[in-house]
Amino acid sequence: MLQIRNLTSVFPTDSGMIKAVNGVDFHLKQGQIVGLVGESGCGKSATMLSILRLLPHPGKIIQGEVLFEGEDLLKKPLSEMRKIRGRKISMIFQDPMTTLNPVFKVGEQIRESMVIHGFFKKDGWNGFDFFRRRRKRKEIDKVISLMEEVGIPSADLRYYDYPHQFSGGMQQRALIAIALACNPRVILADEPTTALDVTIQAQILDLLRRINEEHGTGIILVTHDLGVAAEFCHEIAVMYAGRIVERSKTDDIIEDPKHPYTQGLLKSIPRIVKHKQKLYVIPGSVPDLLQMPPGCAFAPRCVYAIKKCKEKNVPLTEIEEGRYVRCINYI
Amino acid sequence: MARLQEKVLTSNFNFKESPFKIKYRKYLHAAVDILSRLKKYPLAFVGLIVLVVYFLMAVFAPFLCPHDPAESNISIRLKPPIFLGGDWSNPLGTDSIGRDLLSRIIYGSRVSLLIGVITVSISVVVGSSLGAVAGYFHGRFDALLSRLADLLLAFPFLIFTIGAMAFMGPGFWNLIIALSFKSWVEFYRLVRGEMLSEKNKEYVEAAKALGQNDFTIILSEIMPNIFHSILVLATLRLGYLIVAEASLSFLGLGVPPEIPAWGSMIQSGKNHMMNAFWISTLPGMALVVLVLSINLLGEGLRDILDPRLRID
Amino acid sequence: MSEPLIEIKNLKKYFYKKPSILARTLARKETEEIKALDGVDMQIFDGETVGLVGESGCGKTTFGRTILRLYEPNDGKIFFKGRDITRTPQSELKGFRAKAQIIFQNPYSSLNPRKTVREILSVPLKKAGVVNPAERNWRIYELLNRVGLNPRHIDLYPHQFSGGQRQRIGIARALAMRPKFIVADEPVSALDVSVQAQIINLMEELQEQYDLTYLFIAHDLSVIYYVSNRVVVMYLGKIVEYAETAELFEHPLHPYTNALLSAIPIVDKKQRRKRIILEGTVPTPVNPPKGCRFSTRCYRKKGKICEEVIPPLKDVGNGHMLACHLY
Repeated sequence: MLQIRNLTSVFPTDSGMIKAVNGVDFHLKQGQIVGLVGESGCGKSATMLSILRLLPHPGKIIQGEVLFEGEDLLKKPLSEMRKIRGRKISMIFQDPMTTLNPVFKVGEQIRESMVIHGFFKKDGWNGFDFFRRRRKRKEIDKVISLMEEVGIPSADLRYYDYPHQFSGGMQQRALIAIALACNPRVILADEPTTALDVTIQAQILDLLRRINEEHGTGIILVTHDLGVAAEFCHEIAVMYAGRIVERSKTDDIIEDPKHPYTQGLLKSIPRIVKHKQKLYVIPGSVPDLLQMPPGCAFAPRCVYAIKKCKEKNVPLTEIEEGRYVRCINYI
Repeated sequence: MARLQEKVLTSNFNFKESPFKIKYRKYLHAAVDILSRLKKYPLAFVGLIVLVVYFLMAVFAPFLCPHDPAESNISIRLKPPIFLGGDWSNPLGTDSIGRDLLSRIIYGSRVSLLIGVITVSISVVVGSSLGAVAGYFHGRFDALLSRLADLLLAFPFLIFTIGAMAFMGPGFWNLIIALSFKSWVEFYRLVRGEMLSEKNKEYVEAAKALGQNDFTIILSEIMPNIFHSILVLATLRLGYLIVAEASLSFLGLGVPPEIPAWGSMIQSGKNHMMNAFWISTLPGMALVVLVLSINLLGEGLRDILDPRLRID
Repeated sequence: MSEPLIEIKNLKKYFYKKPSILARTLARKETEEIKALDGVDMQIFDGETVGLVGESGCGKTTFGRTILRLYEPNDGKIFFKGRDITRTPQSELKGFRAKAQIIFQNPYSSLNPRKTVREILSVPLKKAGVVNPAERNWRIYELLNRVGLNPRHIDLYPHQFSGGQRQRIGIARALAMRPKFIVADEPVSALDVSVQAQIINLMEELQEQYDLTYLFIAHDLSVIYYVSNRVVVMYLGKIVEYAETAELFEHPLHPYTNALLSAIPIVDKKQRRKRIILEGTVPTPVNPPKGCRFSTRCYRKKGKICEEVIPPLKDVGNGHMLACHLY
């Protein structure tokens, strides 16, 4: 349904081009949940923003295709793009407090976004609006039912609350309500639970999964938490320094990671198991995106690196059915 | 191998540097850093150069002046400046009692800059120390002082100073007292506000956990972080205070009439606006250029130093 | 059992939010009392790591700072090596400050941005009585080496380091006075997974080498499981459960602990527990529930008793402490 091909975005700076997203390929099928996992600065959020063409200035997309229902979003005029954002593809951000406007009532903000996206159809002539009050009442009822659907208790009262009267989890629910308002085909969730506590995180993820199951909405979940991705996603793509290094079914990637980076990452999370082992540490640190090594970006830290790794970059290759790895050892 | 590595590292590690030298170098680095970044703000850079020229002019006034600024010669009164047909003995003409305007303008810069700088320094010292203490301890003292500050801010600055000067009589130090009496409030409010936000940061807590006492924390931990904002405000206030001084001198409430000051010069030319406009206009222009360049510099500094506007 | 390094008895810390004069007189608003810590008892023994978990706003950060006397406790007692330090004036706490240190969560705000690493590390060394600059420089060199930083970076500013490196500077600062006890307030939660592993390993090495005692505060249960010997679970300013790590993770008794454990996202399929999804959110500490703090969200509530009587912290066998009416 959503297919991203060779997407490349750059941020020009004084000291050179930063390739935040470097030839990213992946796709999202109908009703699927794909996790985009990686450490901070690996380009996960930039990928999300590139899909909706919302990269902040001076970032720009220089290459690639984003095919949504067969059409390339990158070639669309901005006016059409605006119609797609929120209506067909919507986004949930990490920090709900800064995304909601503090001076408007939460319910009104949800209604507002539904009005903007033309959810409430006005038919024919609407010069004099005699039934404004009645119409508004209907809209409010619709918003309240939506708020109930995302699990905001006593929604009819909370409609009139301001964002600061909501707790973090409730704010995130309100944002999900906004994202859900037009029944989009795809939801891009950028670290939706990072700012929340574990028990609240469980609630929100549960809600997202329910939405996915009931409406068949595709979800791309950006997260740094491998645990969240493992429990929640059908498929996982691991990003490193702007590139996807491994992508496959969740169980495959967790039980049998192929790429050395994924292996390292999985070994370095503390686990709840009987016998404690010393945590594995990936040697070295993330490369500077300004001075990317010519070959594999992970080669300087990789234990299996051979001479060839540092010379040329390998493409993401399918090694088994549905398993893609970007590593020379599997070619 | 590991030992060799350690040896290499130790050889690069500088043991001998004395703390004094390090500190001194640190400030030098900071100054060079600011200057090099000013290059990206050409207007501010021009402002800085003009300001330096004015300072040099004030310092070397006796060597630059063609005449004694107090010396009057009725026979050459109301002589026009050189670009209006005057001659080189009085390049900017003379005033109504035949004093050389150029010399008087050069000497006038001394008063303006001296009063501006002294007043700003007093305000910075008084305002920041009170603000730091009030913001850090945030108790009764703060409540009391903040109400006093509100009270002072409720008076219009100039009217307040005129009243004070009328009460105390003209004089160099009286003027400084009258001007500083209110202008510390700005610094008080700035430092207090920054202190309130800064003191809750974790590095302050870390210093507390190490057993630093409160005054060391204020001086050596927090103040260096507020210093930049103080510097920016001080520059912007300097221009304002110079204008205030000129206004008071214009009204005859500033420095005593025997000291040449731009404000009183503008006043003395008021009656000759029709036949000898340069007597008022030239000192006025000197004032405008100085204040403008100070403001340009101040705004440039704000862009460079104020962390809220800065993108690192 | 030997004498505990730190003993805390009935520790209380309230914050007060005083409305302005106008609100007090016109709107009759009263001073709000935020009960951040409401009677906490704990013992920390030499050389162990005590993990402290709980959701945000449960008072875990306040607890860490109060036992270090960074906040003044309202009530209760703090004993350090058997000495009561609850009311010792700050100026006489010198010995305690040298022995008890803190590592902060945010590696960005916990280092003074205008100081170089040398200056940051000089402060504790001066406090520890290293007056000679050459000797101090040598100690700084040692410290930097110990925490895995290149000593050549001694004159750099914090913003020139990455998050993990800054956290190492923070650890070096805490270590400089050769402390016995360190409160680690979410030291890894702001870091990436791979950096997190580095810092955890470093902290474990240091513990072995210097015989340190940690109070490890975190919200990530897998990290807590990995580092601690004993785990304390807090909810709304009170301890709800307290046991050896293995015991707590294998036989959690309190409904809140159960819910918390089930909510952690786990990578391995086999390890996953049946998820218990709690209703609602944590009530405000301004106006906590009258009885058991958890009674508003509890899914195994017994009845009236839970809402009215505060359950005491009782031993339910082999050092497993629990505050619940169910047992």
